[in-house]
Amino acid sequence: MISQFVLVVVLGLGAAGWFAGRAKARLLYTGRGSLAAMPGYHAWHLLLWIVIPALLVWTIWAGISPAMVRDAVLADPAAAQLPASDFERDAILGEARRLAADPAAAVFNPLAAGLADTFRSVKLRFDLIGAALALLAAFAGGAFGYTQVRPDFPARTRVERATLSVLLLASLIAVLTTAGIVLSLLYESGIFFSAVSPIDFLTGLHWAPKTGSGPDLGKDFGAVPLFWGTLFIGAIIAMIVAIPLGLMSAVFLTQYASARMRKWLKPALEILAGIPTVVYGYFAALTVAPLVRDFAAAMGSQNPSSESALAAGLVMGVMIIPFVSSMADDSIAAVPQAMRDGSLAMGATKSETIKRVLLPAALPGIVAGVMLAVSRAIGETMIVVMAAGAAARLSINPFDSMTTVTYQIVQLLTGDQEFNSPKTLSAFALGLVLFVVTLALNIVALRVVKKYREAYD
Amino acid sequence: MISSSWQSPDMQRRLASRHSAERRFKATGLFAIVLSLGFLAFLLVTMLAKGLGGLDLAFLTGSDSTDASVAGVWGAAKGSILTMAVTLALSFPLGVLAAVYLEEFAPKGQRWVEWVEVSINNLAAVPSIIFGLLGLALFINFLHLPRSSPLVGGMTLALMTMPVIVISGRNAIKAVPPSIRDAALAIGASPVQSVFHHVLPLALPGILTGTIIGMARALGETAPLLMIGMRAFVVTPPGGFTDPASVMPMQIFLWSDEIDQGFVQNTSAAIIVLLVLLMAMNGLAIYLRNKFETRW
Repeated sequence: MISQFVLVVVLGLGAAGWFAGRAKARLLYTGRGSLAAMPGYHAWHLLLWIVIPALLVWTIWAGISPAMVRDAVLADPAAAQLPASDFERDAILGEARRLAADPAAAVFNPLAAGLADTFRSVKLRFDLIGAALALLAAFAGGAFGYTQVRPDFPARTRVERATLSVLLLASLIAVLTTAGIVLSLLYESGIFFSAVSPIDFLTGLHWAPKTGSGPDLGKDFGAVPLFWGTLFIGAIIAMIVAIPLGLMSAVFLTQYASARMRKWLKPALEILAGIPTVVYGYFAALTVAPLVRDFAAAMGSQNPSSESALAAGLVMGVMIIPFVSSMADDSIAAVPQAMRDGSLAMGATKSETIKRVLLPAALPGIVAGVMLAVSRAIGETMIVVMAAGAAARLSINPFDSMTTVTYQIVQLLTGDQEFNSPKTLSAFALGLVLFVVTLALNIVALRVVKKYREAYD
Repeated sequence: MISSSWQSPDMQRRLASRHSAERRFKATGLFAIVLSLGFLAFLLVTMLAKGLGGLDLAFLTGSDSTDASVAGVWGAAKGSILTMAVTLALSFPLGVLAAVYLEEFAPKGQRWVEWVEVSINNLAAVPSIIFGLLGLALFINFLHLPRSSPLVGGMTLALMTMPVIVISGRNAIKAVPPSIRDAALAIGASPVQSVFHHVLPLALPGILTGTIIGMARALGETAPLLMIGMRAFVVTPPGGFTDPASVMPMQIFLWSDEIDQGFVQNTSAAIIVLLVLLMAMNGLAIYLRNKFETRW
């Protein structure tokens, strides 16, 4: 409540400062060249001087005040009968804090109920101190900024310097996100690998994660069946569907279709890429899986499963078609016109030119596109969650139900498990493997594309 | 002699087989594209056939329920709106500013600038479920933000959407011809002024197109939200950014798991609503691109 109030007041003061700064700068304006910066820049400069110190003070206060609140509550006579053990005391304090924030929260400890009022009043006191400090900073900064509104003050340069640092911070977010992904995956998998040896995890053939601990734990965390299922569905079945269809679509669109046909067919094909994966998953489970099961039964399979690697892989392949198609499209378009003309001039037909000249020349680009498609397919989650099944099985029968890395991550992390068991943490280890593999595929593919472009430029 | 060899039956056969190979190849290409589009049509027709009957006002204004006949989609839709608002508010400004910096101000050839570019390109290709793991580890386990709230969901999706906006933003900024910048600089504008007063407004339609496409992708995303627990059973629409909520793709996923046959119709109807929304967004993006596209 108070922090919203502080924010509104500080922004209000900033706005007031903006107008005050502009008014003062306008008064100083006596003619062309009399001000080093336009009045608007003086206004923004003053606003920054009001808002930034105040928000900085408030943020720092929000960081240090909880510890001070805690000490003050402990010093209060109402806290005298708290247990001496740190662990229990912190549990009660935490409960009192929740109760102070939300009177409807559940109470387990009567001591906490008694402390809630103390907690609330102490917290209010410290929040008010913080608010006062923030406002003080706003006024101090504003006063300093106001004295800076002088004819010779380079307000524009200062404001632009501030703008540039904001731009720099924004572009660093991407690096921070990558670092955050790597660190969080490494940290949580580190805890997991302290309980289960990485060798057991990467080479074991039995996957049946369970809670608990012990030296035999590694036997149940063999992830090879998951890796196999992922590759079988994402890199084999899906690619058997996506590569021929995507490639031939690209060939037809670039070489045979008239401009008008291309204008309609290409966006239509791209709709396939825009459909949410959950829709594909539902379609795979509802329509494709029963068809596959009936087909398997007709082929003489005993008790075909309603969840099959084939259903998930087929639908995933269709999802990937526009992706393969557009990558192939780009690589074919990058082949120099002279090569095509040369082949046609020798009397080759169009299809012979495509098969013997264009596709071999475009091959590196197409291979890179397929690698990117594989990386997308193995990271795909919803289709396999809804259609592939949970059984970790090493099988080459596409009608079997199979599980994937992404399926297991979802399975392990949804529901109410305790967070620190090896079972839950193994999801992060799986995530780490997935991240490393997709990253490697992407880097190699992008490098191939780059090299290939250079070859023809 | 030569002309007779062209007319020899041997040569005729050879030519005929080459021409029929040509026709076969073309037909295969057409077949591939027709098959792909046929699958799309099959999917859409199936959803329409199963879901159209369930689309009525009560479905559009109701919330989730254990009873299929009263369950509606509005609760999840409101969750989606709140989540997308957070995503847009975070990813659009950050993405545009990062794109401006990288394209206009970043010192060329510096090691750390390369790191930024490489990580943006890679983030755009990281599987979405990994972003969910990051959201779970960072926002929920580390920062203790409320689980299954639009706030956390929106922040997670913003991390995912930002690289898309940066990449499209950079392309749009790159497409603005240097003469615009030179003209601004020549009449005395500072580099920052030339970018913010001239380049950015010209690049904005392109950036908006990329943003809408990124938002459409975020709107259809399920897996990362599954990780941060956005699968609440929401009987009343969420009131704020920190209330437990669900989103539309998640509602589809949850209903698809129900055993009750009535939910098949609900799921398909929700899919129709979601697809209509997504197509409207993509249509808007295409319209913007066509309307404001400038050929320099």
